[in-house]
Amino acid sequence: MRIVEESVRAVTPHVLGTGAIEDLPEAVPRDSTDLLSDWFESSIPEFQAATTLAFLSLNLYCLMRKGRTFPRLDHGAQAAVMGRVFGMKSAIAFLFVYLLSTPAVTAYYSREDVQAVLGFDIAALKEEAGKRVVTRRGELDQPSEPDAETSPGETTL
Amino acid sequence: MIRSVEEITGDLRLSAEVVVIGSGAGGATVAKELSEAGRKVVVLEAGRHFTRDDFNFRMDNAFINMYWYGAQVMTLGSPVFLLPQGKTVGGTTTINSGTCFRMPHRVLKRWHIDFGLWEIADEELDLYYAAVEEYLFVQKCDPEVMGKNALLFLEGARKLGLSGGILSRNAKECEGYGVCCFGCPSNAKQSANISYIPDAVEAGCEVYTGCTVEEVVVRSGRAVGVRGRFCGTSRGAAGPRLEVEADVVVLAAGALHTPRMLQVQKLCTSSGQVGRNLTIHPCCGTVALMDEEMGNPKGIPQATYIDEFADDGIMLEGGTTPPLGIAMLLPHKGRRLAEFMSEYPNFGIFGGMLSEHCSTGRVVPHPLDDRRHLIFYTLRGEDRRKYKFLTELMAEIWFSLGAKSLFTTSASFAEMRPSDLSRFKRQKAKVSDFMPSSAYHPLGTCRMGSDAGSSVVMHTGETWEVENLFICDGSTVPTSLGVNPQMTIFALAMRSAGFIDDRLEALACRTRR
Repeated sequence: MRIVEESVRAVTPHVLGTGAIEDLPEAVPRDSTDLLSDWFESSIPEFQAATTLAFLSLNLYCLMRKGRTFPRLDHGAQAAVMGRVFGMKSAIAFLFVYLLSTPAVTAYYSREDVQAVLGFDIAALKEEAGKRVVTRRGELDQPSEPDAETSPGETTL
Repeated sequence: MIRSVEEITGDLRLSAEVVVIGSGAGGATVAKELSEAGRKVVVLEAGRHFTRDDFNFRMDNAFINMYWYGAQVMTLGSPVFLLPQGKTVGGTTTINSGTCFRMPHRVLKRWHIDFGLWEIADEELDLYYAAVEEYLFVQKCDPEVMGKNALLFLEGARKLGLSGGILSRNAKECEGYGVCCFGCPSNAKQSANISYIPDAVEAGCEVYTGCTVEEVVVRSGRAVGVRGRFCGTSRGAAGPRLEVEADVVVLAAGALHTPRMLQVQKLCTSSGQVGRNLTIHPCCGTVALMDEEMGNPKGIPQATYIDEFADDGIMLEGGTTPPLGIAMLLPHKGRRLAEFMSEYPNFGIFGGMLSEHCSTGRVVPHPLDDRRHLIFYTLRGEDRRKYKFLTELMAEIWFSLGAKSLFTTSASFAEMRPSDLSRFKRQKAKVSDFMPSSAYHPLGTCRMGSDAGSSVVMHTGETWEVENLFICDGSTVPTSLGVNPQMTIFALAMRSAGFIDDRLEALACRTRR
């Protein structure tokens, strides 16, 4: 649904708030919609229905209060709406916020460049793990010295 | 051989002595034991086969590719729990933290007294546990790699006089990459996909992936095979059909799918227990903002535990998690989320679970699509107080360690300061205050027992009503275990494999006569 897609993109910068922190890379709203479409493919129809309903509710609220859908509001008005939404304090509200924010949060904090800034350097870890293959051969608790049959980086116990 | 769905070009008809549905802790164990005993075994797995080259440290990829329904399986009730389950070769063992516990003796005693399962003796079960532990290299986490977070929390708990220790895991030469739940990138975690399944395959077992079983074929009260379908190339598209004739059928699809399959076919339902008695371990996490760096995410996701209140059904287990795990737990969004996430290196994280409690739920087929299920579960009575106590306990420990702020799953204390703790403790445990959280370890939906009127399977794992139909997964475990269940599922499946082998021998003798 186009309005949902546009809303997911429009909501993304407000959910992430990354502009406020210098080191964090910029959010890419398209990542959120790409992830959501993959997620809908693998998930249950109810997840798609609930997410769609959450974004439609947000738009309905904006239409009633501001006369425009969320993506058509200016940045300041969008920020004010999202501020109200994020300020709600109840378990139900948390579920609503979860549905609105999960695509953005998941797509953004899965990015390798973002995680690297936070100290989780996937590229380096991948390289390290790639050099090290634990095999099931051998006994437990023996010194880990590579033997003649072991390829470089392979650990044999 | 492990065959992927792409290799299947047309409808398939196979015959085997045993067909196993599911390749998790239960199915993989049965497949390996029987294949190595010289039996012809076919395993059918709904998920795909992934190897360490596919495990790319990314939570989003893992959710979408290796978890049932993109990790969005939810319970219906209050509060709402996400119940993530593995959908890949190795089942949930491929995406769990690898925590290994034997079942406490008090729980087995309860099985004896309440369910008449005297045949499962302490000494016998201990032998199976020992065999599984040796095979899976179960050992205590290495303090050098477990990460600062886990050790610090344990130290804090001990200073408060609480008992706890270092967890045992099925991991060999673990380097603490912190991503066990998204597939171990070094093959250190001895999940079924790199242990039982490869050994079963080496012994001649055939594994078909991307295959959903639609029907257990029953003739004259005996299971004689299964029918199913491979998944198509696009969502909803039907792939080639599959039919397997077998002397024994083993259902090992887990405590959510196994009962659904029986209910849809109205098999073994006369006791009224199929799908009922669901126990799960409702969890809640706490994220603490510390003054010092916590070494995230290098470490082990679950490395230490606090068991001071284990007899009351309260267990704390924890370690570390990548940034996304923290971002999902933080209650804030927008600028505050970014501000807090920039403090990621200083976050401590620990989780708690209601490990034994009286609430139970049930699983039923989805009324609009019987290939899926609905899960009903609500925390009742005393369990609500215990669930809230999990957060109180973790808060107490974090604040004693100097945490500045604590993020919790309580709606009214989502961000808690040290001065809030006494007010939080005084607050009544209300379901409306519990934010949606996650739960793990579904068990009990096809429970084992000593009479056909109140249970689905006998102690051997065979169903009371359909001969040669065995269930070897968490669904047969009749009560909550008080601990993480994978070792018990491995051990019970190993035990059942012996009975299945005996049955095949008896069938062969009957044929020879």
